[in-house]
Amino acid sequence: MTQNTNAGSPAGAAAAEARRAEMRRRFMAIADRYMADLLRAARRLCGGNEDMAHDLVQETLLKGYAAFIDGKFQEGGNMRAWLHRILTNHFINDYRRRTKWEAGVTVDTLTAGGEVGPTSTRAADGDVPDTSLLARTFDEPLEQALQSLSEALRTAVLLVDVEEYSYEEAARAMAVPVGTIRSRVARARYQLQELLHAYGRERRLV
Amino acid sequence: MFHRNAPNDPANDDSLPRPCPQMKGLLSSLSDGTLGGIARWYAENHVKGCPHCSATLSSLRTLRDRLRALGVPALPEEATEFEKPVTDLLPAERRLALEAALAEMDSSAG
Repeated sequence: MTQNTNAGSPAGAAAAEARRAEMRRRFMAIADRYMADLLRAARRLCGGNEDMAHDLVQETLLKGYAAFIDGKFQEGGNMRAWLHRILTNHFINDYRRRTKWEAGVTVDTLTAGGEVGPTSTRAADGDVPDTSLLARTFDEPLEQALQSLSEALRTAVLLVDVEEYSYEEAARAMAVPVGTIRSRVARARYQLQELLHAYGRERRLV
Repeated sequence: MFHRNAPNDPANDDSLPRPCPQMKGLLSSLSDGTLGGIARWYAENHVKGCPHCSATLSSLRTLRDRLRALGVPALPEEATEFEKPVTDLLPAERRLALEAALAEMDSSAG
């Protein structure tokens, strides 16, 4: 980028402002591209609280822009994943501020001694669903079922199953033991099964 | 040991499959591929002989696929702002506030 302007002069200041305005325009174009995704993720995390979800997206984009102008993220990289991480981390930080977990909270920990696994829950290549078919799916029953979960269970299952954090990453993020995350994810999955099953039966009976 | 509170084959029953109580946590970990060692061996062997746990495992895997699909990005947006559903956009006042905040960040950064 050329720096042929004198920053102290009115012309230099105007050029600098023009550059910043262009950065903002580029950033907002990126934000718009992923806005629907970000809003959807925020609504899930916030249990459908629309105001809270909007706050979360705004904060995410402010943080994202600060990093963007610092050159910490280059266009062409995985901007969506980057923004999602910011959004999720911001939510979790906020969640941790709002929630005090007592030590020794009832945890349905898994006790099997051999229960060790890969450090990530990311699936193997052969285990990926046909995402091209699923890409635009809006799974209304599942979205509603997620909103019925307690915040602790919902956050755990969203991190591990939707955002694909490993159990260890989710545990670090939420500042709880790995066993607690495992237990919460398992409980969330069983509750979701119950809710979806009830939804399915209801539909068939109508 | 398999539980016996539902004698029918779950495949012929539209009630939710009920796994053996001691298997619930193991099946959850088995469904996402994070169960290893002897626990995995035990769980897999149990599932082979228990229709209830087998049906539960299948259901957990389906659920996981559905959850993962939620995280799949939407295809690149071709729609204009006017064509997008309102739920895909920040409300106008929020957007204005955001743009003002970005400009404020720029001016304070000098």
